[in-house]
Formats: sequence, structure tokens, C-alpha cells
Amino acid sequence: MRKHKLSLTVNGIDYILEVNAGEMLLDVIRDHLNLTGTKTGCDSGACGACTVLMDGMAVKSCLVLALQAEGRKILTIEGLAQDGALHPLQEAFIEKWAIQCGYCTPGMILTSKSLLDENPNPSEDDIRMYLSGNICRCTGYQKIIDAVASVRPLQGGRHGKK
Amino acid sequence: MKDMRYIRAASVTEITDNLKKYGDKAKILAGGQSLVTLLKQRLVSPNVLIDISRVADLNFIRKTKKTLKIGALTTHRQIETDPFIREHLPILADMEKQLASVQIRNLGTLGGNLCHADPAGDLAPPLIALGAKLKLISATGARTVLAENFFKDFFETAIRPDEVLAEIHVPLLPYFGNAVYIKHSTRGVDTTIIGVAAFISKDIDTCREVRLCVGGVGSVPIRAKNAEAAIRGKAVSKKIMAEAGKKAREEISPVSDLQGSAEYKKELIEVFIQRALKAASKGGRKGA
Repeated sequence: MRKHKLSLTVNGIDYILEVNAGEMLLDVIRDHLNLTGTKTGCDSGACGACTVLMDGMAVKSCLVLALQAEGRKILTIEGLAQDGALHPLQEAFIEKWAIQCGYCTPGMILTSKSLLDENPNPSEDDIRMYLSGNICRCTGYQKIIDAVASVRPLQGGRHGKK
Repeated sequence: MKDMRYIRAASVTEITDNLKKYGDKAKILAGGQSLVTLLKQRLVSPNVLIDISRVADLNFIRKTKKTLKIGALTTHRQIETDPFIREHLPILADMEKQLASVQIRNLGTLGGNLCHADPAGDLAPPLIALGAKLKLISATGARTVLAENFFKDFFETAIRPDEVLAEIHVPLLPYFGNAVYIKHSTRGVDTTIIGVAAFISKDIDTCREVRLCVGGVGSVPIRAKNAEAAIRGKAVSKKIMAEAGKKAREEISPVSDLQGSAEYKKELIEVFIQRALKAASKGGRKGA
């Protein structure tokens, strides 16, 4: 297999790796970097479990060739907590019981972060629309919506505050 | 996935030169949101992948006097959120809102979507109803084809192996014109069962021009021309719209597939043509 050089930043750390043209960003994150917080679900772009942020934008890493991420900044769930303190979204998911098995949670949280970065005060409908590409098979969604809604600054949430 | 040569093109010339060199041994990678699934399922196995996603010259939204020119690498999300499009071609922003999920729209491009030519794709019916044209470029020149003539069969288009889709030219709506896209799917992010785009322009109440395009009911998006003929030149009434729905049902022969039986789709065609016409004939949009 032909190897190609890939430079990218994951959770603030610069990496230079060698990958095949057909390798997925998801597999590079999990298998080369051992960051297994990003989950493999449907592996076909439907379930959203593999969502990461690429230059701040939510993408499904199972549908991104690793080489497409050349020079990009990737954020995975492992990069969200700062200095041992959980991100407000992570705290909200715990507080609102928005986790059951937890498999969809990293994708849910990163997609929610992207939403709140774009629009700090989304309506409940906005949240539902934005999360429509992320499937959860346990909680029934309402608690996830509640968790995201509770982080909105106008609701006294702390998203975006340092 | 088999081993592939990977080329990251930096300019349009680099794309066309590589296409000339590799022809149908190569596949173009834009956002990858359709191609990557095909690669994973080994439905396509090119020897060469030409990644064009960094060619900035193909990512733009530019307004000319009567046309909106969109670079083929413009993403679905860019169309969805563009202020000019939201105001003057809201059909496109509304359609994008209903297309897949935000993650897919962030990377998926208009050009990639069209060249993938999924018969249930949401982008083609609105473009066909609006009378859009596609500009194709090769090492030897450029040509323009009507979006309507671009689709040839299931996942097949008029594009030659040495060509790349570069631009999409969408006529702006006339002052008394309006266009809408409505679709039906099990959940929002699921495959479209039926999608209907309707463009209509009126003199007071009389229909001057109308174009109806239905996706998901054949190997390519289909113009409902008999339905159009039933309305053109007439006062747009509930009765006329019902007549158009019936004509569309008669003239389109959907096949049964995973999304629904042929019979069910016939029913959907009649209902959705009427709904689309009703929404489009309300007008009320501002001129460009």
C-alpha cells in the first residue's frame, strides 16, 4: 500500500502520520492515536456516533478520508475538558441524565457544541433539527435536548463562558 | 478499500490535466459525502483519487444581473445559510435545510451531489424547476448543459471522463415568480421517497410559466410536462391544481423500491404536485 504523509492537529497536539489513501479519519483517530472516545457506529454517515469537529465544523469522521483532514484542526471528545474541568455540555449531560449506554454521547456533545458555537441561544426546535443526524437508541432524546437547552446562556447556562 | 493514488489538485488546470491523463481510471473527490460510501462498499474502485476540495476557484456564490453563479465546491451548508439565497432563492435554502444532516451538509458539495446523480437527490429537482445550467470544463474547453439534460440514468450523468463540473448557473426568480421544494421521507434525514419542485410565474392570476420536477420516482428526476401544460396560460385555481396532480400521476411511472411501492408513489405524486403548486402559487416573495 502506498503511504501518504498526513499532518493534522488533534486536540491541540500536532501529528505527522503516514496513512493509506483509503483510510478514514475515524480510524486514524481511534487506531493511530488511540483516542477511542470517538465511536464507530453505522460506519456509513447515518448515526453520528463518529462526529468530531474539523476546524470547528461538525463532520462524520467515518465519511472523511484521513487525507481530507490535511492541515485541519480536529477536536474529539477527549479534547473538550480543560485542566480537569468538564465542559459545560458534559456537565449538563450528566446532570440531566442524558446518558444511558453512552455510545452516542461523544457525537451528541460535539454536534451540540458546534450548534451552540454557531447559535448560543437555539430554540428547542433548532436543537432537534441540528441533532437530527445523531441517533440515540436509549434515552429517547428528550433528556439530551434538555441537557443542551440547559447550557444556553439565556437559560443561565455556561456555554461559551470561560 | 484497494490502494489508490491520491492527488490533491491545487487549481482547475490541475484537475483537468489529471482527468485528461487518467480518464475513467480516476474519480473526483469533492466533499466525499457520497463517494466515500461508494468506496467503502467497493461499488467504485478507482486507481486514482483526485481531491479537488482545496481548489478555492470552485467555491463561490456570485450574483450577476439575472443569474446566480455557484461554484461546484460550494457546500450545502453554505447555500443553506447564505443571506442572498435565503432572501432571493429561498427554495434552495429550504431544500438544503431538509437535505441529510448538518454534518453531511458541512462537507457535501453541490457539484458532488449532482455528479453522484442519486435519483432521490434533493438538489436536482429545484435546479431543474428553476431552469439551471451546469458548466463543465475539460482540458480542451468548456460546455454548458441544462440541469434537466444532465441526468442520464441511475447514478449516470452526461459528464465525460475528462470533464469536471465547475459551475451551476441558476436564473434568478422573475418578480412575479416563485418556487418551492417539498419532500416526503420517513425521518428528515432518511432517503427521500418523493421530492417535488415547482416553479411558477404569473400575470396577476394567470400562469405564465410553470416547471414541475419530481425526484425519487424514476432513474432520473422527471419533469411533469403534461401537468405543466394543464396549468400554463390558465388561471391558477384549486381545480386546475387538482387536474395537474392527476396528469402528473398519469404521466410518471414510478418503480417500486425500498422507499415505497409504485402504487404508493403514484398517490404521493398526485398529492405532492398539488401541495407544491399551492405553496408556489402563493407567491409573496421579493424580486431580486
